[in-house]
Amino acid sequence: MLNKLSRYIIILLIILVAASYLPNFYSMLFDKKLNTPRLDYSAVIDEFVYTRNYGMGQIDYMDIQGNSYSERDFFALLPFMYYATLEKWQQLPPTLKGVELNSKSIRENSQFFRIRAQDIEFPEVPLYLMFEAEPDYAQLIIPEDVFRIGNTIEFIDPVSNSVIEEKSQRFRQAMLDAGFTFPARIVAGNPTNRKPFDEGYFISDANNEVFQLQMIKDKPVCIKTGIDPDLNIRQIFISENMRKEFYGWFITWDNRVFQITYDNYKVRELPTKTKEGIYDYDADKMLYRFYTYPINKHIYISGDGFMKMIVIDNDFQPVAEHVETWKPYNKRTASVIRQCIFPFKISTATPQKFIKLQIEYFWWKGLISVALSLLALALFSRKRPLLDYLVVLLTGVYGLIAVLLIKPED
Amino acid sequence: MLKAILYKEWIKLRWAVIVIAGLTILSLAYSIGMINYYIEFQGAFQNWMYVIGKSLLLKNIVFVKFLPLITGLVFALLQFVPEMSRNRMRLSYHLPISEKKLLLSSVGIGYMFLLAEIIFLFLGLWLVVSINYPAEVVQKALLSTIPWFLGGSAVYFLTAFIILEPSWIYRIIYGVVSYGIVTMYYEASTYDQYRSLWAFILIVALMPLTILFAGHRFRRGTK
Repeated sequence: MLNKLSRYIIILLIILVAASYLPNFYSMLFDKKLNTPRLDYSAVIDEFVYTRNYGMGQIDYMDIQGNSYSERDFFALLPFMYYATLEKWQQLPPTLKGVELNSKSIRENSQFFRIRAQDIEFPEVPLYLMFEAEPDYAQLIIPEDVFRIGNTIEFIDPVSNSVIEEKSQRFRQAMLDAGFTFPARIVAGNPTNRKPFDEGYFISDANNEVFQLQMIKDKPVCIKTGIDPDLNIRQIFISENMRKEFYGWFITWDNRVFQITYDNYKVRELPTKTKEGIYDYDADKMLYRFYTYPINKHIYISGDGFMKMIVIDNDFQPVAEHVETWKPYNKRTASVIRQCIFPFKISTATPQKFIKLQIEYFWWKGLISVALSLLALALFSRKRPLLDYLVVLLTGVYGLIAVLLIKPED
Repeated sequence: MLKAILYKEWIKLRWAVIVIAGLTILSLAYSIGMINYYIEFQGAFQNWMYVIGKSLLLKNIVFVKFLPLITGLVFALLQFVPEMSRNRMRLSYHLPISEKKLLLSSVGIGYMFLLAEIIFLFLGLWLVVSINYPAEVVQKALLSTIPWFLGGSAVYFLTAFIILEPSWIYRIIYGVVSYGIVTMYYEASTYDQYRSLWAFILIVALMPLTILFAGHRFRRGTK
């Protein structure tokens, strides 16, 4: 009895390994790279344009009306992207629709950010750097201590590996005076000194109120931002920029994206919904990109099989939207055949850089694998215990391999 | 009877247990030296930046990755190779204890020694890391070692299983499968990357039972 159990555990281990390696091996042999278009919007012709790279120098430059362009003409359609090259070719006009066109003013009035799945949650050590926001020097100075924040805030001195009581107490008091309720939840900042200035950390407290915590002239400054606590914020991202339009941005658990503006921390919602519906932003599966240009703003929502672009003007009013699609991974030939051969696959990778055992089922095509495997078992082997058939029923070709390799002992 | 088996396995393992314990102490001492060297030459704060941001500690404690793995391998070899050479296992089967109990006890006892070494290593590491680093770093470093300890345990059980299997073809199959499973426990590139460890723990918990099938096949003399 125990021997039978033992055999099935061995079979289970074989299935585990087969399901982890075989589908990937198949993909490695048979997956083909698909040619995907890169989408953009030209303010010169007020139309969406795209490029398709066929390799070996052959690139199509098109607009969605079907007109094709030479490389030079195409670059001239996108002055806010290719201003440096156009200046070199002396093809940059002085203004476009009232907006000045020169390298300096375009650079100063452009900004870009993105939200990837691995930016939202990722493995980290929860120790942070508090910069001096108004240093005496021309650039930001890296501090000599780190802080932790949870049920309270504590600064730690690395040399002695102990808490700096005095500084910790001052910050604790400043936060409590501002109305902060410990324990802290989200802690978001930009822990690098390679930025023009420092806005400290945006921290949410136990009641989901968001506070800004900075160190100015060595004194803690904690301000309640007043951002609506019912927004259900999932993660906040801070990026200091000379334009001083927004401190940063955040996403909510229902996939909305907001900017935190310098206008008294008022939040501004960014477009995340599309007219097709299926391309609505889903933070776990798609990439969100926001480009600020002097003349308009571009939003990209991209995922498996599509790239959606939304263009809004400087008053955040919609101008146009467009989507380019291509065959998503699971519909491509190699992938479909893979789903027929293997009923499921086991993987340990996640987009957030964590390691977790996951099973992905190939419904319903995987049933073909199960059916064929059961047939093969009946044909190629005599007298198998019923449980062997059950194993093959549940695991298809993996079970077949395991059960055929490890013959039952009576 | 169990006491006699315990004594038998202890005789086989005792030198290895002592040597591994000694290696553990040496490795911990070496890592203290390495950490202090880094702190001296990078400065405490800069060192913390590397530890926090670039997972530097994983390099300083790399022996923790391999020590349980080697220990598991060595213990399994020392315990079960003597049993298989010149069919000595057949002799043990004539003792007044069921074949299953014998195998499970041997593996259980061997694992207890392995577990003792692992716990010793874990506690030593805890001490070493907390001297120089704050609680957050200690926690992340210790959590990172758990998949490695599970990997070492897996190596022990699977090696015992492979040794006890009489047929070479089956041994090769098991060897390939074992490699595939054990590598799953060593995939981390930074601290505390594993989530929902229960699945990983369950897999290792089931492994000791595999030896029964091998032992059964050996007893029946099937090739």
